[in-house]
Amino acid sequence: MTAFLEIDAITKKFGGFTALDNITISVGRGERVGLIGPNGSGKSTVVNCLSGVFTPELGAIRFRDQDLRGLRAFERTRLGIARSFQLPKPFRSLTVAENVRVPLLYAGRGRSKAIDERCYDLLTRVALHDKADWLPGALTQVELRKLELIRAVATEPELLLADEAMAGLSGSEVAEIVAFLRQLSDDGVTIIMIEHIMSAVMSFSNRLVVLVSGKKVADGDPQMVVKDPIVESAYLGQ
Amino acid sequence: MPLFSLLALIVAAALFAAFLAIGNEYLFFAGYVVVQYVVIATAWNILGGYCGYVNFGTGAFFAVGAYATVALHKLPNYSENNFPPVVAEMIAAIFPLPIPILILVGGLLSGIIGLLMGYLTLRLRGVFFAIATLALAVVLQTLVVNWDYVGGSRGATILRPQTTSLFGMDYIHYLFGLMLLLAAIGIIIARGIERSTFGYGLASIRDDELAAEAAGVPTLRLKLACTAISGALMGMAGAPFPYYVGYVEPNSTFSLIYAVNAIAMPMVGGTAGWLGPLLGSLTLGTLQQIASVTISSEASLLLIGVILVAFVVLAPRGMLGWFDRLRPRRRGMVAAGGGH
Repeated sequence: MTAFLEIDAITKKFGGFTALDNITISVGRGERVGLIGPNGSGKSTVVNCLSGVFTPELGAIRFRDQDLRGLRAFERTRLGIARSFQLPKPFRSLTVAENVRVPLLYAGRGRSKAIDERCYDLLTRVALHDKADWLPGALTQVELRKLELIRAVATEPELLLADEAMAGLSGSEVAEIVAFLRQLSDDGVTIIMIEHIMSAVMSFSNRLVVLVSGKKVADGDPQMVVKDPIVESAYLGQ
Repeated sequence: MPLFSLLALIVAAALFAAFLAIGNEYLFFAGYVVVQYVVIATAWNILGGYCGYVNFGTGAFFAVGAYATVALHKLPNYSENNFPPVVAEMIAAIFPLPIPILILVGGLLSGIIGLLMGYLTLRLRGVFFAIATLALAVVLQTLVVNWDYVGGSRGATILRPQTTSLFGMDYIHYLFGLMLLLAAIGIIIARGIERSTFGYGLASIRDDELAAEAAGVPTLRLKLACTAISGALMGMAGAPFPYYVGYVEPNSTFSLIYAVNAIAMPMVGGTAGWLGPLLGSLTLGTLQQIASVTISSEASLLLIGVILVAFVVLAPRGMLGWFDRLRPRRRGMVAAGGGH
């Protein structure tokens, strides 16, 4: 029996620069994993390798026992791996409701309800239903983050990669997003949270993975990991 | 949707009847060109407006349709001299092919060219895609110039009959009617795409390809379908062209004017929906016809240039943009300062 998600010794290079060096992470179903590390440590590269934007040179990624090699990004989304982007990438010419409609049309699997109704339900979960016919350009930063997340949720993922979903938000807004991710986790979605805001990571994760310069330096219980001297020195210097 | 299709066909039929009632021959001649641009602009917008890929090779697709017709038109004569008599007789029996068949053949061929172009330029975006399409036009033109069978750079003369076998209708009337029908079909297709899952997929590609993939949109497949449909419609617009002008040669058939008009018309009308290219091609097309007659054909070129620049600077959302504030939907538009 293998794990829900297995990142098996992947290496990703950009020219002569090794962005990920022999990374192995195994994630069980329902886990809340925090993925942290200084800027340029390879966190987003992990997300991009998982979601099919990049192909690692070495190693393999297995999701529910299926090798993801050769699968394009949209196929991985349909398999149940959703992601949000570090910088929100809304469909700017489509309304908020239409932004959610696209994944419902292309990746939504349960077709029990009418699509308009499901759009509305999803937007209600992030309190955007009043702005359903707005264009994303008129939304605030936190609303854009919510739209980004709910669009990922609309694909009905089993695994959600939340790439810095809270960057640039205020304290109360961060709490809102964390609560939303918590709710998703309670609904059974496995979540990998990439984040710089330590308070958010610590309150959310039940496991912490630390990357430094493309190498995994720590993996385990969050409280233990942050006390690890290697992690401390990576963040604070010697 | 069926109601819209019915309306589009009724409008086309009514226009045809009105033209017949007026009975001015020149009106048919000029009207053909304008309606041909309705088809071309609508086709361009399916790729350029809906999917965000600027195609500069409209002339090539148009010419593929036109030269398919030329090639088929010359086949009976050629087969008489070069093929065994049995084959030649068979060909003589089914040729000349009726124009609607030629339109389908032209559409099929340019659709395939569109598919190939889409496949070759998959990874190109923005200006790089535009340059690649322009290059495609140059390559195809070079091929045609060196293809003696269709006349090479000398061009080919097509003698069309005065009337058609269809009720003895005047040939130009017949061609105009076909082009009107094609325009109606093109608009029905464009509107159908707009409101479909396919249309939402194209819009997501236009806005952000990475995010589209992340939302489960098979961007590659959709882009290929889009280039094929757009190319096919352009080729269909070109197929009856040799019968309309009577003489085709590479320079005018591959003319950049098709590319420029195909871009200018949707831009002026508005690229957001089917109505924009229709408005743009009717106004610009008619203005060009008037300018060519009253001033000169060079003036009509200058006219497009000036109007295009004016719209890009003053009304980037085209004529349709003027009506945005009338629509209560999309409230964010005003707050966002014009959408993009």
